Amino acid sequence: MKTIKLIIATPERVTLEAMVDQVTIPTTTGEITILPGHVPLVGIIKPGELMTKTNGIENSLAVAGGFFEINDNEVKVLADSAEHATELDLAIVEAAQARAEADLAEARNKEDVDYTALAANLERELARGKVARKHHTKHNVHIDSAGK
Amino acid sequence: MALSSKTLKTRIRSVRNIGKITKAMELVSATKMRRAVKATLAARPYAAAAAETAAALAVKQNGGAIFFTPRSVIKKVTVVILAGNRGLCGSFNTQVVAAARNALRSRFGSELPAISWIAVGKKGLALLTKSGEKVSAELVKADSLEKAEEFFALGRYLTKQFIDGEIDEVMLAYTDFRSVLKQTPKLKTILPISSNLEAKLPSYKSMTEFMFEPNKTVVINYLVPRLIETELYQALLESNASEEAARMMAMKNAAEAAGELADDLILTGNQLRQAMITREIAEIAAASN
Repeated sequence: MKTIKLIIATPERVTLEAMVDQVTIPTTTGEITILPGHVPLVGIIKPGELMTKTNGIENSLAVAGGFFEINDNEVKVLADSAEHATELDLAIVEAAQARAEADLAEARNKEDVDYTALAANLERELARGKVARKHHTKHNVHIDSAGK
Repeated sequence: MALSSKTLKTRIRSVRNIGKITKAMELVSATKMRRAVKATLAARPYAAAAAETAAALAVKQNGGAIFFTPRSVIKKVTVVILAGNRGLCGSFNTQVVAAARNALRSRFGSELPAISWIAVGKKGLALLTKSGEKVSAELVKADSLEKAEEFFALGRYLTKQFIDGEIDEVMLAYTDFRSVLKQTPKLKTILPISSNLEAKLPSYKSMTEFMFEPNKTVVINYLVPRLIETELYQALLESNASEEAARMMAMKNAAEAAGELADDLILTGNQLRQAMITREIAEIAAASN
């Protein structure tokens, strides 16, 4: 079966470089799932969950801001930040999310703040939260049911 | 004679102290350099991928978008120059400024366009002002690592000026980090986005047109400032790594020179002392005769 070469890079590191069967990218107009042999495409990424599928195994990452380029069966995702679900600690992410919300709420009463930057920050934290929670529930199912 | 040997002793002590300071600075720079180099190398794949996308768009957009076509008449050029905040790093700062001015001269010859410099780092500003260049803006930068976000505003500003026709070309002068021993000052054009990567990318030539999500205008308008920021950020990382490497080497040389000088002075001191002893003995011998 044909696969796609996927590269997810941020200014800090290359988060993922792998061959995948399909990849779903959050875009400004919704979501786009890319299968092998896709036409060349350039698009903008929205903060959210990026999903890859390899041999039936799903893997999700939290990505924020940036763009992607599809060309010649190669998908390049250039994001401001990208983290594997396994790297996200739910507690830390939730704290960061609460902080981002508080910052934004506080900013409403002030004038000389970069509102867009704060809003983008919150959006990113929400995306991370979504991915972290999903991963958390998926992997703690046994513990929860055994405990009750 | 006694006075001169005392002066020598003071000099030896001060040279040794300088040696200690430069040695310490070398170690500090080494640590900073390691961090800077790590960040630079980590960011390179991102920058390379962004440059590829830019080149691909340039190849496919020829004749179309304003961002990809070099202007026929170049009257106003903006040069963003990345230098250090501090000296004591060999010829790092002078070199980047000199290389940029030379490259401009060799490209435009005598018909130099109006150049406005944007200096990032204090030393760049100081050197340019001294040589009588017009610096239109100075950006304060921290000594070590920065976040990519700090360049968002500059990227957007340059793009806007370029669209409005206020600038015909945007260039970037920085120091490329090759290795600890080798750093090359460079001057490159970042706007209009060139297709000079074309040769390396044969696959882009044969491919069909890009599609855009959500649409071409939105994507291009979002992407171009982004690509500029990426270029600026990567150049900053490269420059920071180069600066620390240059400083480390300069301090290493200074520490070594201080060591040699101290040895020389000690030798002179010993000779002086020996000469005095010999003379005293000779005097005693002469007196006893």
